[in-house]
Amino acid sequence: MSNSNVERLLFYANEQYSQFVRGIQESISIDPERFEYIAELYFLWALKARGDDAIERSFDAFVQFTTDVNFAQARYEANGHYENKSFHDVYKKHYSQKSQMDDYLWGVYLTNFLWAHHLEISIFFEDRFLSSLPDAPSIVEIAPGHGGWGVWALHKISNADLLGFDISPSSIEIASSIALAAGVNDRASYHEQDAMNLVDLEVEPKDALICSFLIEHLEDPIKLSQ
Amino acid sequence: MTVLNQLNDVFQGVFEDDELFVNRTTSANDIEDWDSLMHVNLILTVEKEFGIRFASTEVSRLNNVGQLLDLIESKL
Repeated sequence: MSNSNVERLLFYANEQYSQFVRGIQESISIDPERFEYIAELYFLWALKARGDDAIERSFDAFVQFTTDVNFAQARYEANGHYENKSFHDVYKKHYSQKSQMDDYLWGVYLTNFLWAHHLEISIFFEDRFLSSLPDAPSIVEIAPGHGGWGVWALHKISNADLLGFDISPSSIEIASSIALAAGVNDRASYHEQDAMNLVDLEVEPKDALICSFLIEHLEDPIKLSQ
Repeated sequence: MTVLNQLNDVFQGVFEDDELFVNRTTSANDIEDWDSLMHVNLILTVEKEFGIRFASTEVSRLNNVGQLLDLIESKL
């Protein structure tokens, strides 16, 4: 790796969280050039949006998020059920808690290239999805979360526009800050809205839909497709 | 048996290596298979062995055996 931001991440991970270094190396090994390109893009936006210590703070959040996910899965396998029983439980404990959601979203942001299987999805997103869009596409993003996917689309396609809906106020704030950092905020618009109530909105027909990592958060995912 | 000896048995079991001996400075840099997934397996095994329970926030920042040892002893 020749770029300083990726080296900076590896140095910090090695110093503070050595058990996470192998996972990063696994992701790099998928495609070193694409890893570096995507990582640098995401780091550039994070540094502009969060300040000089964005890489370290975001990696702290990534470590906590990854540990939470691994713990939740391991406890599920041991107990046969998740600790939270309903969407309401999760909303009360997590989605509505701003500081927790801010960390959560920045942690998820880094998974787009630090988790090997997410890097593969990112590569697919650029090679197969973005490349297939028509000229000047109008895109809707349901549950943008950190906003990285949609901002990437706007970054790649200079005449695209995007309308995003997310249930979390933190998501609207962070996605907007990343759009601003990427210089695409004039073509991105984010609104607080439950994905399950989108059918009630009057929205112009769109050319493309981005919806990433939402289904697993829904109690009734079939309803979304209806 | 000291807590460190008991913890060493856990490490040997989790990493399936009877020749593994840890000390306070041992970290993931010293054990090839100690990645973030194995870290959670290790922590869950420690919970069972010592009859304690950790919060995810307590274990995400652990970076060596000494820090894990201190955390275990704070709960015994």
